[in-house]
Amino acid sequence: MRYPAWEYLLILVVLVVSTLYALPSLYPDEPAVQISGAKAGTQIDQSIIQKAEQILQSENIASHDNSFTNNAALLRLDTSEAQLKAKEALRRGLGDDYVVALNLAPTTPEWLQKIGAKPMKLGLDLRGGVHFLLEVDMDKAISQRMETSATDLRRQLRDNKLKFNSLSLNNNTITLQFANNADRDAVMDFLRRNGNEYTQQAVATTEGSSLRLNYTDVRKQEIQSYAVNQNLTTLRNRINELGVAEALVQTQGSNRIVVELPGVQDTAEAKRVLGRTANLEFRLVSDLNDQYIDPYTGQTTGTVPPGTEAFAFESLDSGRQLLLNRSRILTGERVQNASSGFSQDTGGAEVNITLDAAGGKLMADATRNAVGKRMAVLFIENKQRISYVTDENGTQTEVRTPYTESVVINAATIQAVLGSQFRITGLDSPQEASELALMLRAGALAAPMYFVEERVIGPSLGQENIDKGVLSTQIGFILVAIWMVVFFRLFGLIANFALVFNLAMILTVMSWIGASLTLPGIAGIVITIGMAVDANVLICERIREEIKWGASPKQAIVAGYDRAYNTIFDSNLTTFLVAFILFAIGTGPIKGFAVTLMIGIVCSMFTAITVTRAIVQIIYGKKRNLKKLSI
Amino acid sequence: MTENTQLPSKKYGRPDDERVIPFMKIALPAALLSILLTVASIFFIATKGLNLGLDFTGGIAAELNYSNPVKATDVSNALVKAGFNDPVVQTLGSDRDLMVRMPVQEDVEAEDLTKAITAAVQLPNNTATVPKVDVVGGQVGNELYVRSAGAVALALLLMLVYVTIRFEFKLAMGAVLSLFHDIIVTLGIFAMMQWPFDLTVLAALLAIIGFSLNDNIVVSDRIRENFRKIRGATPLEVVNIALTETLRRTIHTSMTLLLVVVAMMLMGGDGLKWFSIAMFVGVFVGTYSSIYIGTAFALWRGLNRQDFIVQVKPEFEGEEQEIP
Repeated sequence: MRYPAWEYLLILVVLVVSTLYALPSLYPDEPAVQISGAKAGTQIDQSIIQKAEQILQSENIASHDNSFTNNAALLRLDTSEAQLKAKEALRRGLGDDYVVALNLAPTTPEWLQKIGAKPMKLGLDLRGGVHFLLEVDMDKAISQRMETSATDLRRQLRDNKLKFNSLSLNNNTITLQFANNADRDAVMDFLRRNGNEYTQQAVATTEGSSLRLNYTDVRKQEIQSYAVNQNLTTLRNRINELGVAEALVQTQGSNRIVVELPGVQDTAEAKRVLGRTANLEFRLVSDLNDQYIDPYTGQTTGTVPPGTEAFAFESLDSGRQLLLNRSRILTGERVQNASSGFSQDTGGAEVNITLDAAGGKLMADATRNAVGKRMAVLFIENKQRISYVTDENGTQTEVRTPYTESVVINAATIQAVLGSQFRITGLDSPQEASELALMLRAGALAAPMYFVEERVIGPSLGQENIDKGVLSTQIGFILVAIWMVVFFRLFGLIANFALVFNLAMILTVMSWIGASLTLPGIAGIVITIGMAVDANVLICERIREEIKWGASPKQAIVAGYDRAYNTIFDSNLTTFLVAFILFAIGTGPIKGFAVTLMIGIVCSMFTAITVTRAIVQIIYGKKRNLKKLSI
Repeated sequence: MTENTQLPSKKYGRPDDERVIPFMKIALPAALLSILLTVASIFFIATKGLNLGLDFTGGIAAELNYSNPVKATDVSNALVKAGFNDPVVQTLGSDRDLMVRMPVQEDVEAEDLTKAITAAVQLPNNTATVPKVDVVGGQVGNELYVRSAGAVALALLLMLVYVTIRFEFKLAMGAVLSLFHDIIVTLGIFAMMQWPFDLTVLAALLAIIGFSLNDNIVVSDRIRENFRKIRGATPLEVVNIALTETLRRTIHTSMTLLLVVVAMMLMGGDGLKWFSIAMFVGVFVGTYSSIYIGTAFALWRGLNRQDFIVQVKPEFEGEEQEIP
């Protein structure tokens, strides 16, 4: 009966690591509110803490261990109810210049934090919050894109002097009519050489030869993934405004987006912000600009002439203004894509903009007689100001006043008549270009989105779930432990140790991969406990049998582990396969279950076999004349 | 517990104080029982249907907590009066906690659904809070339903392939048949009792597949071992011996799993309730089926020693398979 030294070492290392990394889960995060500046430029400092503490004190809300890091203040509170109250009070007291967000503060001791040990994240069902599932309208994304393509194609063919009789767009198919086959072949050849984004279908009709064009599957996928990613980015930007520190925004499947906002209870508010569209307008800078804007102060002088409007230029608090025509060329809905890049001529930063078909036409009409003038991009955002009105009874009610913020984010000289694709050049830096592109894109969603699923879990329900889940796990665990000791004595005790080890490993792996613990996840852990003992039951029963068959205790141990191994391997592998299928098809809660089950199975293979074998070796390995085993 | 160190004796080389339990003696009645259970389950699924949860059907589900005991009909009337269509109100445990389910509402402004429901369910002298509101679009639910069925089918198919490769085709067929039986019977019980079938129950169903397969594999493993080791015994005897030898393990494993499941059932709260009930049913059904369906089927299809004899061919590592 031998056991290699390296395996002891491996076990020791795994044991130490998983103990260390599982420890933080004993220190649960505590509710906190985070205060940061509303704009990137806003500098806030330590003094904000005193200000916030005063506000909280006047509302009788206790906070503790408040700190200031990374340009944000973190105030820790005792309960989630206090957290919600504090958020309201601070929002009221600090005003619009600050963003007050719900957050969780770690309570893990510093030395554990230093090695990167974090407590496990809790899923929405254990924390409370809202969950949305949004569906991106893919048909719309494609058909919008097709419209642009049709117009572009018409222009391209004309530019290249390729003959065709007519071009029509129906059901996402472009149909081109030609006088003869030679013309058609020329176009087909041209398309193949240029991008090849269509599938071509040559048809002979009564009117002659025609060609049907559809997007290739690759192109369709490109458009779809662009639409989803674009909407994802837009959503992320908007969620930042909601003041949720640990929001989850991710794609689910090919056309859905999951948004989880822990701690948020007001679905209406969340939906309003997520569904909101900031708007974008292209307008010509008024010819009277130089006349009415003082070149030194940058402000308007006197009242602006009719047909024009003055807007803040570059940023709201820059103090500079620009006089624009009241009529707009087009709005941001017409922008289909905007990307930043470098000009091939000058090497300067630029933004490439793609408009849809109608937008291209509007732009061409507007710029035909305006070459040399300046065109401005106006960013209009619909916002809400929250104020509190106290009535005669002393009760406070929240009043939401909508308002708009408009700012000219860019003004550039028109160099030529513009179509559906044009560039804004001469930007100062690549950062500015990518910011402008982002703003242009974020103005409108790439494709419409609909809410298809919505769940609200109250914070008390979350707490109840976690309490009951944890309690039942503990009780189940203790019952299993008692059972094992009663029926397998010392070997049962060893198996129990392996179970605890297993649990620590599961927690460690989950915190490493950043998986969050959900209610089904707890179920997964419980089932793992139930299944993990199976390996030890198999081993113990096998050892007993070997003894019955006349083997010596040591032979029985070696043979027992040896023979049970194949069975354990097979049964674990099959369970793993099932868990994997669950993971592959499942969404949200089912995935959580599957992940814990998979992790549990892998860990239990190690703990139930390798670890128990090592302990058995330590206890029995050195004994000579071993007569019987405590099994 | 066991200090038996006596030498192996004659009968098939087994210690002779170990009685072999003639499991397969009642194989025929058990087969009839299994068929009866399966037919009854299919009957209930077909006639009563599954009480599909929100995850699958789409719609709105809200939990209500009242400060005083309340009648379900009052709540449902209040909701109808507020303009909600077809609300179904059930009590959850106590007469103060209720669950409302209704189809996705066309005319009610979805923006403030939580607020709308909260306002609608307030009764005179009895205030209500709404701790949880779920809305699932019908399309999402339908897709999930199809995908879940696909997942179960895929799981079964993979198991068939795996057990065939590792063991033998007849045992694989038996195992898959018993897994199929477990799923149908668990579903049948859920249909008969009209228990809600939601995503967590689906997870339980797949966990049951895993557990039941575990049992099947342990037994199959022992059958294979015994066919190779024991000579001169009939296949029936070999199977009985294998089942007897694994019986203790089967009991221990089922019991420990049952312990955690019962703990979860009684103390896990609403979130884990139906999951643990499905698991509870599954543990019994799964244990039974691995003995009386998995192995009995393989035996009936003529499982014998020939299926497991390793051919002496150096290039083959595994077992020779005989696929009928």
